[in-house]
Formats: sequence, structure tokens, C-alpha cells
Amino acid sequence: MPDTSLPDGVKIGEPVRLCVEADLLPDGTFGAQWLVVTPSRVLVVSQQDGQAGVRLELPLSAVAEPKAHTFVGGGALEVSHDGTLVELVRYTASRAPRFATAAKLMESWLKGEEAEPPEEEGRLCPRCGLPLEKGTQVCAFCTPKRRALMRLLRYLLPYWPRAVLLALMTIVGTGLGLLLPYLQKPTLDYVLVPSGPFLSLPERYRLLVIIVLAGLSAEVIRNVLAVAQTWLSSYVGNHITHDIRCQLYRHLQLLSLRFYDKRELGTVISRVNQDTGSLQTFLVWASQDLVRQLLLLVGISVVVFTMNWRLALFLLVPAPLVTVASRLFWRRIRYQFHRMFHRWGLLNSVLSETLNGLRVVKVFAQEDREIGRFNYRSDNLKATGISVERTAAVFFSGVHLFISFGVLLVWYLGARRVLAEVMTVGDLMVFIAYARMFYDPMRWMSRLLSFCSRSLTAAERVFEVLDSPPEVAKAADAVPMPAIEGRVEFQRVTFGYDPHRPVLKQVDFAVEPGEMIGLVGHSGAGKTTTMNLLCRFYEVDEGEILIDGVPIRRIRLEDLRSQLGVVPQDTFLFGGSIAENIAYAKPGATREEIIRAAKAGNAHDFILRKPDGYETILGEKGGGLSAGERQRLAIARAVLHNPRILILDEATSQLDVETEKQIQEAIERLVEGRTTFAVAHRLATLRNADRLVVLKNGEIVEQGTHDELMKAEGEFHRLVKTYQEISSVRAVER
Amino acid sequence: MPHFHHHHHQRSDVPRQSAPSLPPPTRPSTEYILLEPAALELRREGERLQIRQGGEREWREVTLVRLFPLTEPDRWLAVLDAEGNEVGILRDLAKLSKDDRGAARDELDRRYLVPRIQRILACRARFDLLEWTVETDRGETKFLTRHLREQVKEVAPERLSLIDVEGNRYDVPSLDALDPESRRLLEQRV
Repeated sequence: MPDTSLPDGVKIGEPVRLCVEADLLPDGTFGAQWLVVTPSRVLVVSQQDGQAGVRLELPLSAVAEPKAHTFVGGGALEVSHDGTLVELVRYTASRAPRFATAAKLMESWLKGEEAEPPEEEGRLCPRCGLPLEKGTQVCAFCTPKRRALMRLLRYLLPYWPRAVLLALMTIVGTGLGLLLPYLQKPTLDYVLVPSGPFLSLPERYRLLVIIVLAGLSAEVIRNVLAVAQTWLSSYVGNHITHDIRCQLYRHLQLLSLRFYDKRELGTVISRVNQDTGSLQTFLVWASQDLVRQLLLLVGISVVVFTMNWRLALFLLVPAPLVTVASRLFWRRIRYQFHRMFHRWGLLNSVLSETLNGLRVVKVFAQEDREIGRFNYRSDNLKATGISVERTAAVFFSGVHLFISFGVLLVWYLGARRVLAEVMTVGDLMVFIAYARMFYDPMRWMSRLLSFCSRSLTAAERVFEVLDSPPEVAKAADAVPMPAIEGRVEFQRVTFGYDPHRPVLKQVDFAVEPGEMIGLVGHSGAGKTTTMNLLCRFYEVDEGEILIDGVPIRRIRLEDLRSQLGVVPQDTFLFGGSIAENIAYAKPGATREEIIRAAKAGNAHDFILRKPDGYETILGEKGGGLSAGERQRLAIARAVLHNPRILILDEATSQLDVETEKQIQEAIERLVEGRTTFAVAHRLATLRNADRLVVLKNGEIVEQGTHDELMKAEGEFHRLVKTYQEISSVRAVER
Repeated sequence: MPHFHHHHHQRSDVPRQSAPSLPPPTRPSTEYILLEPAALELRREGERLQIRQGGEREWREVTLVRLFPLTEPDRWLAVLDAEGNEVGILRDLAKLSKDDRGAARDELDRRYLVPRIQRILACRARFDLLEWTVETDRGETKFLTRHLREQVKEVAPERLSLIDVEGNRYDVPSLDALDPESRRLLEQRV
């Protein structure tokens, strides 16, 4: 934590151990205050009317329980002083992490422990001062475009021989393209309107044939080259796009769930298909054309300047205008493209969301609303599309007009030179032909630039995903744990999806190997979060989770996950056969293992009644199976996975009695001998659990066996009563 | 019968092969029992298959069910008794004696009516339906398919399964083994 310097004129008179600047005044308006801790005192320095002074001063010995409270958008640091609560400072959310640390430091000091202020990691980009995303130093805002391009070029490396060949072919092809207009000169000057040495008519015929043959062969070679180029570039471009696409998907698999918490799935999906598709257009087509146009520009410049540099200078008159216009256009169109991509993503997410939830939409008769929502998104997209195309149209016509000026200027001046007989007709025609060609790349280039800008934004967005740090970084000293015994300890675990709003507070309990724990509580009490932490989908903010005494952070992730099984509430089945789905966690499983697992999950009987048996192909999300069947497959999957620690997220949905019984039996077989955490809703599970942990608002309020807790008539008793009332109502409704 | 409510997600206009009429088990089969082929004696009694095990136990009406019908039609057969409870699993048909094997084959042929397409003679589009004329191991036949994407499944690489509008199933064991013309007709549509 950096020492924030105090304002002038404040004397503390003691070494300062900690000084943190707060950004709110006691009345909640913006202003600076400083929390200062010295070896013997706690002070609050504030500044009012340019006058800085100590507002509050407490002896450290009289202070207890420093605590950083989190509010919405801000927080306050409080201590208890002689039994009353004193608010030291208030601050906005941007300072909250510092004061959370400050509170912890003070706590340690009050206990007499030695603690040092931690080094604060740079939260702001050193270059542009904008906040960085957590866990990354790559600033998304000021990464130059050139870097995106250079990074793309790096993907070209494995294909460099082809790329070099491609470049050579482009050079030769462009050169041949330049040759053709030049053939006009001998045609005009020697064959049609001889102005130089006079040739006889048969000689002129012969010359004409030679000229045409030369032109023909140049064209033939050029077009053969063009085909070959496309051949090569489609290979290279598609390969690179494939490489990037696979890398992207791989990375998406490795990203932590936090990444997905923050984003809508539709936008992530459009990264994979649309952005990489746009990259492909760029790589296969636009980049190559860009090079060709550049070469053409250079080639023509050389030719026209050697022919007649004075006349050529006039060609350059519109060039600055074209350049300036393109720059303006580039800048403007890029943001519009960004917006368009974003809106495509939004449209996609509306689409996938509502089509996935079509049943819900129909049940609540909300079709009109969803149609309205879609129309709104589509309307936004339409507006952006219109503005993109209009901007482009104005730009292209404007540029065209500038260019025409240049050509007409040369036309006029050149023709005067022919009349003055300092230039031949052939030279003028060749010159005008080149003049048109000269602007061609310029005009094309501006259009190509829009392609390139689109592709580079796509590239940036792809790289942004690739640069997001992958899941929970692997500890360098990760402990291999090939055989977990199954003792699990939560030691004062505090965690929040939003780090300053804890969902779990000081959760503390231990589970012995083979024990079955039922987690009970209202929804939102923190049951699922507890399980997410055990799976290490997220890292705890405070405290520690230990497995066999080893902090979970230090256990090798593969070892942890391979010995941890989850039977989720909503069974996710993949498109594929039933056998593949059962063997999902163990791809090499033998048929015998699969059948045994299915039998243990009480799934064998319904599977063999399918026409394709174990080879029944499941539709998306396990379509074609009932909820009970899906659950039994999930259990079979867990049996085959054979985890040491099992997480059972019981479905809340009610099934018919017979199915419920079968699932219950299967579960009993499954939990046998494993450390089991059951997010419990079923009465049977609650009774069978060795111990129940009752959560309320992220804290453990009760622990004990079913009977103990019922006798205690506390929170659990109340919950069970509610459940029973609901189920009796349900029974009546049936 | 809760077990047979499998299909409530299915679209009504998409036919599925009807579930084979097997009674639900009276008790779930949770044990993995392999039947010893040497101790078995299979016999057909009219249309029924009978099994005797080691001369002691006898089941008068058993059903053979292929657990992996596509890739292992002759291995991994579940033997169910008349009540739908599993007697055990027969791992390999080849391990049975010749007579026993013949009886088992007959039973399987009766239960699994999946013609194997050997040649495609024609494929005509009729509105949104496709009319296939094919030569199968059970003779020449014609059938109609709709929603080709949903009704053609790639059950294994190079292996297709077609389901017609009436829920019949046709097997194309290997795309490679088809003659070029049949293959062309199929690949045009699939």
C-alpha cells in the first residue's frame, strides 16, 4: 500500500505506519480525508476550505474491532471505541479494497501481531491511466492497432515459404499488369498515327501483331498467376484462421467461470464465429489486395515520374485530400463498426436466450414482448448499418470527385503539350491510362482500409479474449495428490462473486473422509457457492479450504478435479451416445465399466429399452430423455468417475414416487464410502446425512444430525416445517 | 408406467422409432451378471426363445436386447425374462454352440428389423419429402424421409442410420462400401 502523502501543515509527531486517503467527507460529499495509524494512535485528517487538520484522534489502545463495511458503491471503516461504534472514514468503492486491507492490518496490529502493508498491484494502466482489469496488465484501451497487426503476422510464421512465394507472385503479377497500358504507346505512335520514323504499311501490320501477342501473353501469365495466388492465399488464410479459431476455443475452455459471469454467451459465441470469420476475409483476401494495391501505387509512380515528372506532379494534387479524407473516415468508421459488432452480439444473445427459453416465453404468453425485444435490437442494428453505409457512400463519392479533378487536370495540360508538339499522342494516352490506374489503388485502398479496420477490430477482440488470464492460475508449487483421502475443511472462508460483497462469511466446518454432509438453507444462503469453491471454480477471498490438510489452492488442479465428482441439479448431457455421456469423465472406459455404472445408477433398465440401447444418440441437452432418466445418467456418470469427494446438487423438481425411489437407491449406492456434500432438498437425504450444515445469509447458523437439529427447534426445524407445509399443499393440489 | 414417458420433448411431426414393447422391470437390475455361454442352452419354441442354464434354471420366454446394436450387434446382449427383468448379459454370440447361436440369431432378427441398405437406386424430391428407392439385405423397397437433418444420424464415422416418416429404420453400415452412384445420391442430400 503506497503511503499517500498527507497535505501540508499536518504534523503527526510520530512515525506513520499507515496512511490511506479516503475520497468522501463525513457528510458523504466528495473530498479528501486521510486515515493515519501510528504506533500509538489512530487519526483522521481532513481538509476543509484549504485548511488541513486532525478531525479525530483516538488512542490505539482504546480502539477495538476495526471493520470495513461494504455498502453499495462505497463503504466505511468503523471501530469500536469504549463500547460505542465510531465511523472513522467513508470512501467510494474505488477505495474499498485499500480500506479492507487497512482494516485487516489494524486488526493484526491490535492483536500485537506484526504485519506489513502489502505491495499494491498496479490497478491503473501506466500509459493511459485507465483502470486495468483484475489480474491483467494488458490495457485494452491503449494497445496500439499496429500491435494487433504484428500479432496477426506472427501467425503467418509457420507458413512462411508459402507466404514468400505468394509475395513473389504478387510482385510479378503487378508488374505484368503495369505493362499492358504501355503497349498503347507503340500502337498509337508507330502503327496508327506515326509521329516518329515512318514505317511501311506491312511493317505496321507486323508490329501490330507483335504488340497484340505481347499483350496476350502478359495477360495469360497474369491470370494464371492470379489463380495460383488465390490457391495459395486461400490455403494460408484458412489455415491461420483455423489456428486462431482453435486457439480461441481452447482458451475459452480454460477461462475461469468469472469470465463467463461477466459476459453474455451470445457475445462470446460471436467472437468465435463472426470475428474469426471476419479475420478470414482479411487474411484470405483483403491483406493480399492491400499489398497488391501498394505495389501498384509504387510501380505507377515510378513509371509516370520517369515519363514526365512535371505532368506527374499534377497527379498528386488530389492526393492530400484523399489521404485526409481516408484518415477521417477510418477514425469514424471504426467506432461504427465496433458498435455494429456489439449490436450483432446483443442480437445473437437475445436470439439464443429466447429460443432456448421458448417454453417459458410461451407459457407466460410473452411472445409479443420477446418480439418487441428482438425488434428493438434489430432496429438498433439497422440504424448502425445505415449510418455505416451512408458514411461510406459520402466518403467514396467525395474521393471519386477529388480523383476526377486530378485526371482532368492532366488531360487538359497533357493535350496542350501534344498540341505544342512536345509530347506524342501515344505518350498522352499512356499517361492518362496510368493516371487512372494511379488513383485506382488510392480509391481501392480506402475501401480496403475499411475492411482492414473491421478485421483489426475483430482481431483485437479475439486477442482480448486470448489475453484474459486463464482459469485460476496454477500455483508453481502445486502439490500432486494422486490419492485424496477425503477430509475436507473450510477454515473461515469468506467469498463474494463481487469481491467486496461477500456471499459466504467466515464459513467454518470440517468433514471426515466418507462422511455425508447435507447443506441446507434457503436459496441464496450460499449452498451452491460453497460447492463452487470446493470445485475451485473460484478462489476464496479469505480463509482456506483444505483437503487432507492441503490448501486447495496448492493442490494440482487435475488431481483435484479428477477426484471430485458433481451430480448437478440440471444434468448436462452432450450430443452423443448414452455410453459416451456416461463415460464422459473416463473416455477410455470399457463396455463392462459403462454397463456396471449404468446399473449402479439404476439407468440400465431404461437404456436397454431404447432401440439403440447404449448407443442411443442424445439430442442437444439430452433431448428425448425425461428428467428422471437424465438424473440417473448423471449418477451413472459419477459412479464411473469414481470420485473421492462427491458433490450432490439435488434437483428441486418433484418426480413421481417410483422414479424418486430409484434415484434415491442409486444415490445411496453412489455416496457409499465417499466424502459427500449434498445440497439437500429431499427428506431422505436429510435423514441419511451424517451431519447437516444449515446456512443462512452466507453464515453457518446450525450444525448437527437431523434429529439433534429437529430437537433444537432452530432454523432447520423452521425450514423443515416450511417444506412440509409446501409439500402437503402440493399433495392436496395433486 | 413412469419409464415410458420418455418422449415428451419430441416434436409431433418427427417420427421416432417406436419403443420396443418390453414390459418395465418389476425390480431394477443392479447387478452385473455375465452368463456363461457353455452352461446355456437356447431353443426356439414357436416364436418364443427359451433358455436353460446348467440344466437347473429355465426361462420359457426370454428376449434378447442388443446393448450396443450399432457397433456390436453380436456382442453384449441383455437377456430379459418374460417380466422384463434381466437374467444376465451374454457377452459374445460367437461363444455359443452352433444351434444355440442359430436360435439367438432368429430371435434377434425378429426383434431388430433394420434393413441394411446395399444400393441406392433412386432418390427423388417430392415437395419437402425425399423418396428413396433402395436395395437392402431384405429386398428392394421404397421409403420417404422428411427433415433429413434430423432423420439421418451419423451413428459412427462413415456409418449412417436413416429413419423414414413412419419410423422405420434403415442402416447404411459403411459409406465407403457403397458403390459410387449410391454414394453420390446419398451425399447430395445429406
